[in-house]
Amino acid sequence: MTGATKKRIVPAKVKDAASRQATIRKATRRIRPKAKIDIARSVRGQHR
Amino acid sequence: MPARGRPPATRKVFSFSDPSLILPDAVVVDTSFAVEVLSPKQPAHSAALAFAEALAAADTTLVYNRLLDLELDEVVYQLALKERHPKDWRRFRHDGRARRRANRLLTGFRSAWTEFLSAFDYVPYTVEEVADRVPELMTRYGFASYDAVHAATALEAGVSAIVALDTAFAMLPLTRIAIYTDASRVANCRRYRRAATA
Repeated sequence: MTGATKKRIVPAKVKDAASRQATIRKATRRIRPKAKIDIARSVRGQHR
Repeated sequence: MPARGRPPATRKVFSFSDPSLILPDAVVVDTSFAVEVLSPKQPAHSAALAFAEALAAADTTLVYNRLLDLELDEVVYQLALKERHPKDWRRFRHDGRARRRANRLLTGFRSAWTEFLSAFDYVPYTVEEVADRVPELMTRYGFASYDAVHAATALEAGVSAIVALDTAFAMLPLTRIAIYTDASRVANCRRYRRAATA
């Protein structure tokens, strides 16, 4: 990572490992779509 | 029985389900990974979630391009269409009946992404900041513009790892970037990388 990029880091709001894990899990429970998607094919139009 | 002979060349393509992985200090996040982590319906969701937790525990910095936000919106809109018209959803793009669901999903995905980021040190880049690198990546490696933006972000930030479920990034030479992807895409990524360097 370049020095310029390091200077721009937005620090994490949650610091300890257990809270980070809990935050990530909570974020993934927010949404319950009923369909799935292949982004490479559907959004970017690649067919391989 | 243990496998015989030399293990396959990694070509700096790694499965994020591999427990022996050495995690990078910083990694560029592609939209495909964000979608996989945030949506429990996605086929590699569990593996992507476990990898995200490992990255958080290892204090890895996430670098991403704000194009990801817009691609996420497009994904959400398509999800809403697919829910309403599972078979022929592309034809119903302008069918207004999916819009309310799309709006609800979009709000959910955006909040989920913001909450997800709060568990990490992160650096957002804009498209404008990397735009000058995009044409070269397209002409040199055959990238589509979307992929080129994420690859250019990695180069601009000086980050040598990307996490993605899109095999296109294998076109970048292994001297420039390591790829973390789900187990089902590892072989293809290595094959594309070998072909690109041949």
